[in-house]
Amino acid sequence: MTNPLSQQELIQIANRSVPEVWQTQLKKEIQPSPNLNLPLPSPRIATVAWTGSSASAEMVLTIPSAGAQLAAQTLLGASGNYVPEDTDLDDVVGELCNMVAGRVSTELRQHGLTGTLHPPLPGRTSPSGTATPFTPTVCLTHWTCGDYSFTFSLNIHPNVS
Amino acid sequence: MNQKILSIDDSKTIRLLLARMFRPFQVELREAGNGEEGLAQAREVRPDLIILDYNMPVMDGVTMLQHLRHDPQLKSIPVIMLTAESNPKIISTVARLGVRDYIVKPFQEQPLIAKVSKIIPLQPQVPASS
Repeated sequence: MTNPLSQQELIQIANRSVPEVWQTQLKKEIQPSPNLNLPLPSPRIATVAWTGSSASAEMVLTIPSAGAQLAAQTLLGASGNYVPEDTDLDDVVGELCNMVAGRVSTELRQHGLTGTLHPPLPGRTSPSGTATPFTPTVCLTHWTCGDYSFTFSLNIHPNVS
Repeated sequence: MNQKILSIDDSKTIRLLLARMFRPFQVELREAGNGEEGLAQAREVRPDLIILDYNMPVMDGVTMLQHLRHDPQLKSIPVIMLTAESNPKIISTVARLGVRDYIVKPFQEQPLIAKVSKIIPLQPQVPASS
């Protein structure tokens, strides 16, 4: 069984989806950053799983804590004396990943792949039921937003029949 | 009198964002982190409007909405979906359940406020007298 989408197709999907979330929700322009130095400092990681009838996907957003702090301030900065707690930063990254995943899900549907999203989880996780003997098609994209850089990865693989 | 809005989303970020958005208005915003908590809040508060996520642990938005519509005391409460999920089957399901609007995340604040104001009156907060 072959993977449903090529790496190039996944990169194109990510390249459309990630900037839209930053522009719409954070009012920030982001740039592709192909020469990003990894690993990112103090990373915050969120994973959203997508389960379809013939394939499954995992989407992982990794942002340095400083970037998550800036995103939280942009989203919630006008909330009086609100100071985000540690778990709040994980939640911000989870929600941004959820939004990107929603946009990706729309694009997957346009490729004939229908499925449902799962709630975001902190960390890099592989939800139960999606384990596969197939090597997933992996797409890792790198981005810069002002003073911070981040990555978004999109992995898709056919389901075990 | 303040309008009561119940925000049901597993993301604290979204709940805080909505709280910030509606702070300029005479709105009492209540929060719940999943559909089950949301139902309990709805029974207690009887909100004028519910803003509901779909993907949530414990009880998702569609299940919560089905419970809401089967409760004679709650079934007429207007609901706006605010979710990253844009699956046409889910949109069709919640449309049949009488959802008033469906907003896909990421979202812009002003259009959401405009859609809310078509359902409930949003009066500006009265500045505190010095």
